[in-house]
Amino acid sequence: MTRSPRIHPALVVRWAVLTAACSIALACTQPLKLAKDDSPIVLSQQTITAPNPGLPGTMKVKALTYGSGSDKQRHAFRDSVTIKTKSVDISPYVTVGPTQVNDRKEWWGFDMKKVPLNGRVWYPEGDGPFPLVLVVHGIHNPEDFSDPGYGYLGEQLASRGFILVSVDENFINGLQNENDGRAWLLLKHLEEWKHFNDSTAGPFYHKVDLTNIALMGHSRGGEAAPLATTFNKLKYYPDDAKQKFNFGFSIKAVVSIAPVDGQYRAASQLTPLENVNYLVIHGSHDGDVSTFLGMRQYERLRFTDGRPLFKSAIFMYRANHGQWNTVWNNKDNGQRSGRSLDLRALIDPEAQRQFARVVITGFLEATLHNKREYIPMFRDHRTAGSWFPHTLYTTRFQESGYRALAEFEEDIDLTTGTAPGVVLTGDSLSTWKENVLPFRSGRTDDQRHQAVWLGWNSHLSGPDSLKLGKPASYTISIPDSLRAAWRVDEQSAVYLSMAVTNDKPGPRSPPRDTTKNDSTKAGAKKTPPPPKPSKKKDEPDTTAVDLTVEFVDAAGAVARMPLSHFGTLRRPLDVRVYRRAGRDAQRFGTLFEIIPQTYVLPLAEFAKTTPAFAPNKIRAVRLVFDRAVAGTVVLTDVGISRPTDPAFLASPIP
Amino acid sequence: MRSLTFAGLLACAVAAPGRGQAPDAGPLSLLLPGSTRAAALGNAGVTGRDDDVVFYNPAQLVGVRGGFSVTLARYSSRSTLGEVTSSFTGGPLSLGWGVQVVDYTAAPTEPYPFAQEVLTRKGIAAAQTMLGVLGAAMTYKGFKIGAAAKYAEDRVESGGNLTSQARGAHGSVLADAGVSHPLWQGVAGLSVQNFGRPSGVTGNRTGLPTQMLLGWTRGFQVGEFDLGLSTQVTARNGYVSPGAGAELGYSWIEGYNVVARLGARQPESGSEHPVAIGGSFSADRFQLDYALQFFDGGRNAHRFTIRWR
Repeated sequence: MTRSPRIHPALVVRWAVLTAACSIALACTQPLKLAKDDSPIVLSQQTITAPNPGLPGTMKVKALTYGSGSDKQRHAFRDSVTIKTKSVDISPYVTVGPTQVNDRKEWWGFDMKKVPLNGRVWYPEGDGPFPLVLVVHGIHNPEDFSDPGYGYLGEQLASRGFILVSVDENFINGLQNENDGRAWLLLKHLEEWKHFNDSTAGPFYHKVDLTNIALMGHSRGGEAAPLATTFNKLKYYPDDAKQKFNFGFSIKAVVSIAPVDGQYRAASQLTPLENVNYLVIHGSHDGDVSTFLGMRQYERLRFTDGRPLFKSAIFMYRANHGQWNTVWNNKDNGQRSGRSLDLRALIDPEAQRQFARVVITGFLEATLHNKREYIPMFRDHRTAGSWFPHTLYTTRFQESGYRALAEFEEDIDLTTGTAPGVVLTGDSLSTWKENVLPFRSGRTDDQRHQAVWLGWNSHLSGPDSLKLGKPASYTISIPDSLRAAWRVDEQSAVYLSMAVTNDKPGPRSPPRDTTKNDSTKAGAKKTPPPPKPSKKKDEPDTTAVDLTVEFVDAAGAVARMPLSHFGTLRRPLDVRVYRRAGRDAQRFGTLFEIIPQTYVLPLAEFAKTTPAFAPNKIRAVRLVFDRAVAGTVVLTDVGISRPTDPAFLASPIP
Repeated sequence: MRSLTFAGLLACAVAAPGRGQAPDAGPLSLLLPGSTRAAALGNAGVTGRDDDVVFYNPAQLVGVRGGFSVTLARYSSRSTLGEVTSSFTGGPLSLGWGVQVVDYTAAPTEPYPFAQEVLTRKGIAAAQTMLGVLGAAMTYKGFKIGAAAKYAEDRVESGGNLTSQARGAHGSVLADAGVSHPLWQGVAGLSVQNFGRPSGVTGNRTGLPTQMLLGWTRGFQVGEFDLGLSTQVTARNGYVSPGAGAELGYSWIEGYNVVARLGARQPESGSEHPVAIGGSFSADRFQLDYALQFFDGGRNAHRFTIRWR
């Protein structure tokens, strides 16, 4: 006879508690959800033939630090500085709250009247002169020093003939409204570099190319870099004319990495910027600056001096805020980021940094070393498919030859464009409205840039659910006078930027049959109601959207090409930053950021498909929604360019 | 100097206390822990952060997340404590209130005023002790300051063989005042409590436990854990009782965490053990606290608080 096993109540309780704890833990963690990776197709080509800028160059790299030589907390800027620098008074730009004054002075060993000019330098061995690049970090734990985190860029850029300086501004981290100080300090470093270049005793005597300077910043530094570029041209500090500026450096390029925008507002305005090359990059899974705020700075940049300048914005899927700095890494939300952020979604840190190596080096090579062959990857990332780490990218691009046809900002009339005489018309559209581009954080903030929403559904309502109507279309008509004034010809290209939304309008009403009775009159035969949509929730449609672009000339010749030839028109990329189920929906208005992709459509390519089409007589650009039955797109920045540099249209995808 | 002061305060707080008894005072409700969390931390509650801090230091109501707490404690099968507290913000003031009622039985030979251990024993005379408090606080020149008005009462059944002093009702209207300020990366708090005139319908008046509480608390991050230290010294009519506790918290995902607590203090009476333990579980706005106090003879007091913020 066997004895039945005895159950210990304590054991049961223990298991019950453990099971309950595990259930709670698992129940509130959402499963990993990522957008379908199309990179094996999208990044399968490589039309730029130049060497990969993400690989180290041939020059031997040296490194040193400069600074006060007496820094209490930083031995790198105390005992081992190669060049000693004077302190500067940043107090007009940075205010420390009364409760922090003593603690900060005690910890750092100085107050805001005597902040040091500390920098880590990576530079190439050789006679030079080498272009100078300054990078400044953003806000982070001031005791977890941020400046060493850009060493990977320092090694990379120095090996390719640049001097990179990672500027120490840790001592203003933890303060508020300090970003004007962060920018001003960059310019004070440039003044110091002028001295270094002039000093016969130092290691940089006549080795610095001060006619080729770039400023770069990350997070708050990403706002400080363009702000410094604006300060560089001013005579006075905008908030107080007692502070005189006299900088005037030759800043040719600015890079913003996951920047903030609007932390500093001179005269309550967002920082204006003009006549400089600009690159801004941002990660979809940024757990700190969770919307692509840099798009606002991108849109505000104006080219007015006729030089061949360009700007580009690249949105990298699965990249976060901190992995572009090896100190910050995946701690976007502090040391315990793993509790709140879904770190599983992040791209490999080294892949994220390799992307930075490729685009930042390529950008600086193009703008400071004048290696223009790298420019096409900023227009269309497919031209450098083999260089980019495999993930999804969205690219914005504009160059100084661009002239706006329709940016949807000039008035509230849906039929008028930005340039005089441009007429906008819609046909069979279900949605046609203009609005400001939102951020996914929604509600209170937006991209400060207008767009038009165009929705269509080719299905006709009625008993025959397969019956399709005439494709909807949207036309931008160009007056002859404008075309002539802009000297549009076969070297020109049409620019447009477009994103897809998840909205699908319902079937549209069929055109009225005028041969039958008026349905509004009594006795008219009623059409049966449309079938009710199935209640079963469909799986999200992840297939790319496509449409036909038509160019019409004055003689009526029409050249057509699918938009997909010039880039992928993806459906929205869902982003879930947080671990807790439902937290993203709670925090953000939508799960996706609307970042329109720029498509550059050379008129010559259209002329190749239709020889009768005369580019110099183009009269209309028409978007025909004939390649997807239903959908909604957001369109902005429609314009024409006669590029000021052939490199802007080089290396097209065949 | 700073570390010496800190070490001195900590040592004072956690030093193994003697078994000296607190001087007689009442009503009993003024001597009971007002917070489950504090009960597990050596009754160090003067720098507390929950709405039940109104029982310790009204100044700490500033910054308390508004909410509602319900506490239930069992000292024995005939002794149950119920407590309700809440706090909210109105303009520049932070306001809080709390009511504590204990229903128990007292033995005929129990000397009055009663000590906490009376709750662990079974008697024949039905008794109640209650405390109501209403506090307000604000920030003034960087200091949190607060004041509270209280009403405390002991009510004991008249029959039986109870001592004549115990019979009837003993109620008092009282006032507390407190202050707190950040200190050494933590918070220091001071409160003076139970100022007022004792009263009793039978004319048997007992001394009030007028007292001063001085404490300091600080949180640390230790790897993935949160460590909190709380200290408090209670001084009453020449009687000094140090107390201190530590809590170790862990959160595996935003919004959820568990905490284990251990505390010690010089007990009010001889049969109460100096050490207490406890813990808590919180999920977003919900929190469950537990404390276990030990008494001679294997008797324990279990205390639970459910808090909704």
